[in-house]
Amino acid sequence: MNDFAIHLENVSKKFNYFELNKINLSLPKGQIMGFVGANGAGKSTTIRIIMGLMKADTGSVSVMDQYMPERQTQIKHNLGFTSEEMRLYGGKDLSWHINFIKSIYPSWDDRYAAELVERFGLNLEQKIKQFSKGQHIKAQLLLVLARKPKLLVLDEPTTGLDPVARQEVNAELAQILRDEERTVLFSSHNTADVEKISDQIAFIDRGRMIDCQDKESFLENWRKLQLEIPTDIQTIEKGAFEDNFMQIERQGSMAALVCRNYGPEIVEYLSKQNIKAHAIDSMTLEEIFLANVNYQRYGFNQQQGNGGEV
Amino acid sequence: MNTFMVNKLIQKDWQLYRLFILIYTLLGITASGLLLIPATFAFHAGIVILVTVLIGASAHICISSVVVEKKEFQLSFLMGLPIKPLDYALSKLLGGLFIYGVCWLSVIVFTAAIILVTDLPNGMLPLLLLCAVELFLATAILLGIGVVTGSEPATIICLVLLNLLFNLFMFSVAGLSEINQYLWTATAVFNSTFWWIIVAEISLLVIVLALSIYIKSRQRCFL
Repeated sequence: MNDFAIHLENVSKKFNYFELNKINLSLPKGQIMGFVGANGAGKSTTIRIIMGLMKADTGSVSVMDQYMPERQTQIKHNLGFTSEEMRLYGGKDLSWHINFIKSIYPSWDDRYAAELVERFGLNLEQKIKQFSKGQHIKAQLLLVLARKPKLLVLDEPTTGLDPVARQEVNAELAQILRDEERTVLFSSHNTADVEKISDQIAFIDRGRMIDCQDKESFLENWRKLQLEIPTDIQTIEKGAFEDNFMQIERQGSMAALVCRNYGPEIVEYLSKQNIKAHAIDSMTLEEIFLANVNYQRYGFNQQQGNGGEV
Repeated sequence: MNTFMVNKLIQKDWQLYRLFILIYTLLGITASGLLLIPATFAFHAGIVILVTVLIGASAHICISSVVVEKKEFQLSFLMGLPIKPLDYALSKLLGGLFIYGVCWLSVIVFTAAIILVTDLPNGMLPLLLLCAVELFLATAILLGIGVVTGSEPATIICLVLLNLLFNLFMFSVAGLSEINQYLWTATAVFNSTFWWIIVAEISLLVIVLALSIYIKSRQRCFL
């Protein structure tokens, strides 16, 4: 027994043109984790492995203290899953789907389901094929949420939704936070959604886990420094801050330096090189994600604004 | 095997396809009714429509419940439920045969009753039963191919081949002297040739189901 709802250790999966490479991921119980990556980064493959839909070539997967995929039947009793590609039966109405799911899960909560129907503005008698994409996703979420699973795995739940529908879905996910016993893993390439509702954030790119921390650590540790660099300095010496300097964009004597694990000693170090920091700005999750991805792909690249090397 | 979930999935498919099954059954019964009209054209039309309806029902169930369900990503919805690939396969194989069986049995029993209670020669009964079991076997093969491969092209090619095979089977069996000589007689003759073919068909049915289940039992994950 451990305190993790999901625990992946060195999970790898190889395809012809893509490889998921030694993924390590731990999601503590009661937390919401946003799983962020570009299209094709490996989010859905990782989630399929977590769900036991796909077997990893190597590594171990444990979900709710049981091994996947060996114990998938038992695990899936307490696990709710939706994915962007998932479709309900178009010829049947929502009421039919509710009765089907209700007959499987004794934990189904009729009152909560009715509340969600109301809140999502869904019509029980309307055929699924007449639903908009937003309504379809809300219907899927309703079917998952009203069975009160201990763990929710949502693969791109807000992709393709209009801003209003996305806000409604996000609000519902945020509400789930109140239930401290429920754990949520949701993938998205929309960093704004992730920033709003996650406790933990994991970044994945090209099949590799590139960073995983709690949201506050991300937002507190990353800073963008607006610098003035003397024209005779061609490149910034990184010195002891090799792992802190992630990205620099330079326009003549002005530059924006992205730092990880920022501390005041960085400004002191730069001032010793006669580099002045005019502003130290917080970063959005999107900026952090992009800087992280670029660093992992290309390393620390000291670029001029016109794209030339300094 | 998760019997509870297999039952739930079969019930779900029954609810999805029962209306179609009712329509196919009514069409089949109507086709059988044409046999009552004392005219050669009506008799031939009845037989052709009867066979077409039984093959159509089989194709509809197999393709819609297995291939289309996967193609339209409803399988993704089911994969999140507490089931393994084997449970899903069992529900499709047994459920598909059960759902088709409702139509198949109703139409065949009705047709057999028409042969028995009217002036039509009872000697037709063995050929009717042999062909009926062949169609049921073909449904099992089609379901097996659909479930094991999950491939639309493979299932459609199999469907075409099975249709050709049915024609070949019907004419070959009708051409057997042990069957043919009693075809137009007043009494149905269930001789050893009839029983051998029935046993072969049922054995093949069991083999197809066992093989499909065995293959799926080795699959630990859906994808």
